Formats: sequence, structure tokens, C-alpha cells
Amino acid sequence: MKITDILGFDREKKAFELYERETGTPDPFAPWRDADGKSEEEPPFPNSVREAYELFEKSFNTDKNKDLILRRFLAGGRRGALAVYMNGMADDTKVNDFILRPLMTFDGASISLDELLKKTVRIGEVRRESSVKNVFLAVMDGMTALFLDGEREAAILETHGYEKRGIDAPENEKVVTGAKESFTESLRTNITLVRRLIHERDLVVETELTGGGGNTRLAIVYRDGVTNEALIGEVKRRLARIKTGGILTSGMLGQMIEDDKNSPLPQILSTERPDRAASHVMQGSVCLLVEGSPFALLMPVTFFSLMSSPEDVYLRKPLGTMLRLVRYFGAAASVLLPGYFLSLALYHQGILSTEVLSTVMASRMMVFEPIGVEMLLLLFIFQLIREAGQRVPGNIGQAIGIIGGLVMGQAAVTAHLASPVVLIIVAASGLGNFCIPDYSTQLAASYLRIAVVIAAWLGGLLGIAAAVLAAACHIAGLKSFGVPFLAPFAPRTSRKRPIVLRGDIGMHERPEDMMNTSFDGRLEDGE
Amino acid sequence: MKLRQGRIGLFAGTALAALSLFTCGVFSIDPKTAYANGNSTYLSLPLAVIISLSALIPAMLVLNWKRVGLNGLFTYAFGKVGGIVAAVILSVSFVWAAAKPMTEFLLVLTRLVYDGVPYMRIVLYILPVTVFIAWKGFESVGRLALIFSGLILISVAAAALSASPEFAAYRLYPLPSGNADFFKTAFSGSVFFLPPLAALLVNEEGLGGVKNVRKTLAAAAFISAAAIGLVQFALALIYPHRVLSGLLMPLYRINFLSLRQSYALRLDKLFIMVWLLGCVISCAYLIYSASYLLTKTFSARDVTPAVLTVSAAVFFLVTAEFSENYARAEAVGSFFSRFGSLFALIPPLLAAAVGSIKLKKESRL
Repeated sequence: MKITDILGFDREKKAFELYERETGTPDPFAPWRDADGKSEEEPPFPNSVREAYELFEKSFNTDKNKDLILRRFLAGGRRGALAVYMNGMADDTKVNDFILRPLMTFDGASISLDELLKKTVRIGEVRRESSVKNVFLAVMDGMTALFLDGEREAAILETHGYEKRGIDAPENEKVVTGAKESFTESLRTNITLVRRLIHERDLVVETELTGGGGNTRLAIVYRDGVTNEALIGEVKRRLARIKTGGILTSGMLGQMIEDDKNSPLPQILSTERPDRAASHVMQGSVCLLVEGSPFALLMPVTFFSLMSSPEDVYLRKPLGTMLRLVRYFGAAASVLLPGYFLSLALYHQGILSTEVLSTVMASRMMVFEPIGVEMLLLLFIFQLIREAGQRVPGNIGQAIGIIGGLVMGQAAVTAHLASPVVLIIVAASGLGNFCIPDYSTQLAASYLRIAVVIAAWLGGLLGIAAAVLAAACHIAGLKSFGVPFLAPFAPRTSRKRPIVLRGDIGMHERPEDMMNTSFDGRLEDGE
Repeated sequence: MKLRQGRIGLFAGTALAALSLFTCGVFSIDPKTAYANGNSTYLSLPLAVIISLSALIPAMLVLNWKRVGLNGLFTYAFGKVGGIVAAVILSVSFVWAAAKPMTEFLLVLTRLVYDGVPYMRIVLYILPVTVFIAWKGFESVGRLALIFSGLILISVAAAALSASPEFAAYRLYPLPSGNADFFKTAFSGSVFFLPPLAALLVNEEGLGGVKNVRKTLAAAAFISAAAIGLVQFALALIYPHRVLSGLLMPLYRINFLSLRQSYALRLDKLFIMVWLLGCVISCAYLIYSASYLLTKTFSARDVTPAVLTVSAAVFFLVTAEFSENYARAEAVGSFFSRFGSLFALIPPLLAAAVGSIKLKKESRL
């Protein structure tokens, strides 16, 4: 008998399933709905080219909407046809050279949609569509719809040709030794960026429309047979529930499908790096790419994945480990250092040595406001500088940071608004905050820091203990798509890799146990 | 249903139970009783943990047969009204066990850390957080215990080891004058350990069944017994038992005796805040357990009202010690110190006995 048999828990296959599942199958994904979630009535499919023309004229209000092109012509000089596309969204060259010209000059015996698609149209991606609403969506998306007199289906031809931004280096998740590519606003480009990194046949990219009115196009990326089906179902279920109309960006979409919307901490990882997204997908995560957003949403996410950076694995093991230790230390200092200093200065002077205490007292000699006010004031100014630096473009933003940091700091000390010691504490805490790789987590930590400072001001170490416990309790109870936020530490899951330190690269061969992928053998019996 | 039970694993369950036992065995023991017969608490208290564990074995066995949960067993054994009475009695023991370490910490904080600060102000920092944690449920409490247990253990070890230059074996003398005294101390000490262990039986569902509870209880009991024994041994090597019997939280005072000139002396306040985290977590665990038991007993759907009620009872007990009617509060405290174990032990034991008789009868039929 093994020792694990004696000490181990009864672990039935489903007993410790981390995903919380609802009963029933997911709603049909991406239904066509208005803002109230009601289905819109679909117009009947037009019987002739003339009817199709009138339908588009009426539906798109072409008197005012001049960029919808409705081109009537005779296919093969005999049969009435209509090509519909959106000017600017579709590539004119493709439409003219590979659709219109071959169709007009076609001299085959029979002219049917089938024949034309087989022999004449020189476009790679072609499909037939009998639903009018899907034809509308395709046209608005940059496709060309081809109607033929007497046919009960339209041909949808891929003619995307709109302008888009090229692939740039990431702005927020910079690494020294890693890849320099970031996502763009084009969904197609983003899918390509992920596909280029994952050469697995099980990689699935489902493109769907979501949101009220089905306005937002997104792609769900996962590994079929590896990613937990319950997770995929849960993601789709939450997406199907979105009733908000308008343009949905990845930031908005993420909030709508998160577990706890009121938590300051993100429960979805937003990344602009394709390599990071691909790495998570390989480990069994689900990735959402949204049209118009240069960020991928990854789920589920834990605290430890929010604290990791792609740089960790690009560097050698000791360096990656040190980097992580510095990061965790910086994050802890960011939250606790100002509050701790304040509590020592106000309530527990005995902990400080005489030398330190006299230095602090001497530096505050001429400062007129209480130390708590001074600390909060400096933290507020720090937040101001940070916000201002982000809102103004490029070099000016950097200049604001330098001016704010150096000039204002020096001026505040000279004007006896702040003491040098407190200024150093706030600056060190601010630097620690920037060590946190995820932007939302950075912000959450910076506001938690203010709460800890207030708690320390009111109650010293006791206040800090209360604030830390309350925050820890909140974080311990958080879940991301059913996966506890502090997994694999609390709850502990079986793992070979270290949690905080960086393990060997060879240890990355299997997905994490908490992901409940097929590697764990828990998906075999209908999971 | 907002019972907030959730599900925790072996590590979290063990950490939670061990932390609660450790808090009881190191921070909230009654010094007069514990050290009355010599410095042998490093033997008697681990024994008390084992006695408490073995006392609950019959209840675990019957629960394993019946598979109804502790409140179900109470109803099965005593009927509806009797079941309610049993659940209330057990809950009272949890309330007392939650209030006891909290009171000790409040005494230390008001007398030694925040000298001159009214106790009520300190209560207002600790109790709301405790209630919040208890309200968040068993899963959150278990995970918090897992997060902080390592830190608490390290801080306790650091405090004990920092005093190692002061260790002297002669202070272990006198050992108990006779076996009777030693076992009396062990049995009376079990009063502290029964409620945290019985609370695991209450949260059987959150641990995934009685079998898992049994493993968690065994692991927690042995880990905490070892840890309590080591800490008490270190204390016994530093203080003569006459000093110990009058000392408020001797582990905190350890730094005052040793390393006067070193920087480690200044860490005492940090240490006590870390230990306070353990106290709050174990207190929240007992509050939640009492609330969950009552909620299940009264077939309610939300644990929140019970959490508020039980927290109010804990608040009353905690503040009673500082009130003007301290003599009465002391009388209540000493009553519970003597007979509190009966509150925690009798309902499950009696339910186990009656339940097993009924089960046998049913099986014959």
C-alpha cells in the first residue's frame, strides 16, 4: 500500500472538479437578438435579383447610405445577377477582376450558381447562404454577396480588403529577449498570429457573433480534446447571455463574463502578446479574440498567472527565478510598505531603532501636516502623475513622469509639504507596483495600498492585519471560471512545477492539474 | 441556498483544524490550570489533543454508517426537538471556543501592545473582519488557513528559537507529582481541543465525506500535537512553572526575557499580529461551523442570519471579560473551562450511542 493511499483523500474523478457547471446544455451560441434579447424576425429570401435589390435598398437605406454597392449585371450575358458589397470594406480589385469580369464573360452552356462557383469565380473562400440575416452580416463584414435570378441561395465570396494597422511591438508587455509581435485590431490577423505559433491539429478557432444584436465578432480559440469541455461550454454560455448592444471591446466583454464583476482584481487575463496567448491555449485555456481589440482574453486565470511574465521563461532558470522573486517582493512592498511605515511611525515606534527613529523625526521636523495626510497626499500625487503620464502621448508622457517625480518631489520637500523619508517610501512602493506585469492587477494593488495606509493610520499593525486578512479572504474566495484564484497554492493541486519560483522548462510539458485537461484522465467519461 | 459550504481538500482542511488546535493549545490555554502541576504541558497538551480526537471517533463511525451529516444524526438519534437542543449545545461550545482565544489576544493587545487604548476600539478592528471571513464560508476560511499557516508556524518557530540561548533544562522541574495530576491536566486540557475537532464533523460535506474528515482530523491532530508539544517544551525550558501559571500568553513574552540587545526583540509586535491572523481564522472557522450547524438544523437556506447571531454571541462573551461585571464573566469563563468539554463532547457522543442502537435495531428489522 502506498503512503498516498493512506493519507490521500478520496478523489473521485468528478469529486474535485474545479469547474462549476450548470445543468443543461448551453444556449444556442450567438443568437440574433435585439437589446432585450428577443430574436429579430428574419425577412424571407428574395425570389429574384430585383427583389434582392429592393430588399438591400430598403434594409440599408441606400438613398443615404452611399457606400453599399449594388451591382446588377447579366451573368454570361444571359442570366440576371446581383453583386452586393460594401465600398471600403471589400477589395475592389478582387470584386472586379475575380468576380465581375469572369462572370460577365462566362460562356458556358448552363448558368447556375453551382456552375459559376465551380468554373468562374476565382475566390478561395466561398460558401452558400440561404439566411438573409447572415447575408447582411457577411456584406457588412467585407464579403461580397452574389445573387442569381431564380436561385434560393446566395453565394458569399471572401473579398475582405479594408485598411488595417500592421503588426507592431507590444507596448504594455515589453520583454527584452522575447518576441516583438503584438495583436492588432484585425480579428483575422490575430487568429493568424495564434495559429502561426500553434501547429496542433486539435486547435479550434470558432468565429461567432455575440452581444445584443450580434454586433461583435469574436473568435473562441481552444484545443479540442485537451481543453476541458465544461470550460468551453461555460465560456459559450456566458457569452450567449450578453444582451448589451453597441460595440463590445475585449475589455468590456471580459467584464461581462467574469465571475465577480465587483472585484478589483481581474479574473480574465488580457494580453497583447500572441506568444503568451498561444502558451495559455497550449496549456488548456480558452482564448477569446475580439474584432477591433488588440488584446486576447485568456481564461481561466489565477493570481500566479497574473504575476508571471513571458520574460520568465525566455530567461535562464536562475535569472527567471530571481526576476519572479523580485516581482513578488515588489508587489508585497507596493501594497504593504507605506502602511507598515506609517504604523511604525505612529503606533509602534519601539520596533524602529533609535537611529532610524531620529532620522525620521528630523526629516519631518518642518512638515506641517500629520504623517498620515502626508502619506495619502503623496500617494494621490503619485496616482496623478501615473494617470497623466498615460493619457498624454509618447515622449511627453515620459517627461511628465520625470517632471512629476523629480521636480515635484523636490519642490514638495523644499516647501515642507513632504519629508524625504516618506517620499522615498512612496517612490519605492510605486516602483514595486510597476513590477506587477498585469495592468489591472497593478491598479488593484495601488488602490489596496491606499486602503492599507488608511487602516494603518487608524489602527497601526492591527489595522494592517485586519485589512490584509479581509483582502486575503476576498482573494481566497475568488474564482475564474470555477478555478480558484489562488490555485494551485490554495487549494493545492498536484503539480511538479514550483508555484512562485520558475521550474525547469522541461516541466512545462503537461498542463496544470487545475485546468482539468484530458491529460488528467478526467475527461474520458463524458466530461 | 447560500450555505457557503464549498469544498476544501486535505491540505486546507488539515491546515484549518491544525491552526485552530494550535491557537487553542498555545495562545488560549488557561495558564493557572495548565501549569498548576509543573511544567509538563508539553506532554499533557499533546495528550489532550489525542484524547479529544479519540473522543470523537464513535460519532465518526456512526456518521460513516448513516451518512446524514451531524445535524441529521442529532435528529435521527434524539428526534426533532432533541436534535435542535443537541445542535444548540454544540454551537454554544463553538461560541465559547471562538471567544476564548479572541479574549486572550484582546488582553495582550490592550495591556502590552496598545497600552491605554480602550478594548472596544480593538474589538472593532478584529470582530468585523472575523465576521466577514466567517460569512464568506468554509471554503474561504479553509484557504485562508492554508495561506497563513506556514507564516504563523515560521513566526512561532522564530520566536521560540530566538530565546534558545535562555533555554535551561532545570526549569523543566518539577514534573507532575503523580500520574493522576498529569492525566487530570490532560483531560481538562481536552476542553480546548474538542470544539475545533467537532467543527470538522459539522463541515463534513465541505470535506467531501466522513472518510475525508477522519483523515483530516488525524493529520491535524498529530501535526498540532507535535507543534504544541514543541512550543510548550520551549516555554518550559525558559520559564519556571510558577512564572508560567501567572503569565499572559508566555510565547509573546519570550522576547522580553531573551535577546534584549538584539533587533529580534523588536519583532514581538509583528509576531503577535501574525499570530492574531491565526486566531481570527480559527475564530471565524468556529463561528461559521456553529452558524452552519444551526442553519442546517433549522432548515434555513441562508447562513448569514446565523453568522450574525453567533458573532453577536461571541462579541458578548469577548466583551464580557472587560465589562464592569467582570466577576460574573469570570464565573462564566471558569464554568466553561470546567464543563465546556461536556458541551462539545456529549451531543456527538450521545448521538453516536443512540444512533448506533437505533441502527442496530433497524438492521435487525
